[in-house]
Amino acid sequence: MKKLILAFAALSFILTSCSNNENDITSEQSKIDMSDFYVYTNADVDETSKLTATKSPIKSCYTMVNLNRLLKENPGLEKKMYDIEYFTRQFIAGKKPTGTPGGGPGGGTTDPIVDTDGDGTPDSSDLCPNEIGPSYNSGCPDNINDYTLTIPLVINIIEKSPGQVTDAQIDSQIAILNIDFDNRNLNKPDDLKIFTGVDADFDIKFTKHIVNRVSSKKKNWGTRDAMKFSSQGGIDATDTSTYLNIWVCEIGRGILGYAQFPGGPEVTDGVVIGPDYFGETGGNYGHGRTVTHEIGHWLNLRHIWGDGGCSDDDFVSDTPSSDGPNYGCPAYPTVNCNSTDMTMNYMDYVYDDCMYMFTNGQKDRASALFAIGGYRYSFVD
Amino acid sequence: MKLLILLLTVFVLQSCKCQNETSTMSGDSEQEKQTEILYGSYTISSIETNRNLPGNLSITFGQNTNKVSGFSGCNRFFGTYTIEKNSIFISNLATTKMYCENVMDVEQYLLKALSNVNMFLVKNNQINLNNGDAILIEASKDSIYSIQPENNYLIEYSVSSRGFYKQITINKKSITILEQRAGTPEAKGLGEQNWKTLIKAISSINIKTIPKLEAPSKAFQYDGAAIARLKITDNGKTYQTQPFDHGNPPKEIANLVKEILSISENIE
Repeated sequence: MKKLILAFAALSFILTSCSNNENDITSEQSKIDMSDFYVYTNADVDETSKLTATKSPIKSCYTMVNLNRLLKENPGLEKKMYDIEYFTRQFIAGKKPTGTPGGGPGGGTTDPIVDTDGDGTPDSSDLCPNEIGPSYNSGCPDNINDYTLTIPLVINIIEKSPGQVTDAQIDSQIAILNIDFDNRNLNKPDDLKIFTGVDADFDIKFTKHIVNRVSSKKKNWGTRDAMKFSSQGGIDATDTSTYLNIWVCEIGRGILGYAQFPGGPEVTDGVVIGPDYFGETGGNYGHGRTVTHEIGHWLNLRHIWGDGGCSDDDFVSDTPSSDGPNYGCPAYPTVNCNSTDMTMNYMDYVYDDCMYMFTNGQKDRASALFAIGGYRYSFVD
Repeated sequence: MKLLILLLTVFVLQSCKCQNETSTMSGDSEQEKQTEILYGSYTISSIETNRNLPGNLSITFGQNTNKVSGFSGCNRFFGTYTIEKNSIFISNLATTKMYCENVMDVEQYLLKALSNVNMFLVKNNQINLNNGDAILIEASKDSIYSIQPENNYLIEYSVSSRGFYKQITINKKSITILEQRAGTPEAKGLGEQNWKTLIKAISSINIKTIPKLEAPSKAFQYDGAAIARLKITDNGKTYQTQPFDHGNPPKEIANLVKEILSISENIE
């Protein structure tokens, strides 16, 4: 199903980015600037010419500057991530996607409006149902869009002895997620200073679908996804197109948790967390925010400093530029790259109690995944 | 999954490469040491103590190749060399065949001197090639990538993830390892051998280019690796890499990073 959506998305990209006779779309496309996009690398301008020489109609339609050698040998992943990014930007640029109401982003050319509410006119009310069906950030007016997207969690616990990771830990983690993704973090002060009004309610609700447990003597699982395969002593993912899989296991080497960006292999899609950082466990990193941060990545959010210098961006316009992570509990204002860092953002590296917000721009990126044709639309469908 | 296979392949390839390097290195250790001393590019300053020479005469000894080459005033020359202790034999000398005004005599002079060389001596980045009785050629080591043990590099390697921090700072005399962000630095003696090892590793890097090195992987973007950075300060100028995954540095600096980590772990 997801493949189908992807294929469809890809097809619509071809249509939207290559056709010249669709005026709306061409003008839309001109707004999508992908020149700063990177997947795994910094700018390498030489790549442009090589790319435009390839046969793929998608690649030759627009300039793709930044490619990594590694990804070039694995064009599937690179292309997926590029397509997702393109879709995301198109979604954000359109916000009410591609001009026509109800035209899903990217799918705008193929969705005729059907009069489903029987009022005789096919209009926006047909596409923004009040109660039935998903409308998570599909471009519907806010007043009727108070639907909370529900993401069911599959929690895969790989522990030394049964019950090492307690049910209380699991429940506290889910409670923390439902606070963070509903913008109710109690550590957030009333006065956000220059960031007032930027904090966002993601409107996402997480539910516990199932908890899988397995015991293992393995000390450290590393970051190469071994815990995601029963053949390696871990637990296989459960349908990653409709469940967010969380693996809880010792990772080692100072890694508290890690994620996978949208577009990666389906069988490893999800996040991995060390048991000491899962749920309410106490300590600087013991209040569940590692999971919030990793789910941020799963929702296509980059680190707030853009993983590079001042000019490397996190592709979010309402987060200030910075040239590295912040740690501990930074004083306000912390200034880098001539601007005050948003150290309290979940996508920075500060202590759990010192991060307490996402931004509207970050919400837009995440929302694009769940729009019609989006990479994680299967969660809504 | 594809990515995983790819990563594994890269990893395997890299480890093969390392093995090759080690196997070529593990020849006769004495000879290896001598080759190491001689390895590099030199500017020739005198032939039979005659210093009235063009400034562009050069000779380069390859490290593991036993190839010698250089510029003799008009043409380039090539050959092979073998060494045993302080003896050196240069053979199979050949040159390109151009004609230049005024310098052909110098060229013949140099090539003749080279063919008579059978001993060498290295001292303070100077070599002299002689025949046991008299000095035939004197040359000084080019310091483009500068291998000067007296050079006062400052080497810094930092690793951090959200839950991990390590900062290693090394200069000629001491090593400081910080394992907490706000920790108190405590310097320990480095030891001459460790410094030599590092200098040797640095000598194969053009440090001016390290800010442009491309990280072979960027798992730190999704927290899959700690963020590492290497910084080298040379005569007040600082060169810093882009962030890369701790455990997978750009191959150009891989050996240096390995030595830094190994020294930091083994220092008492």
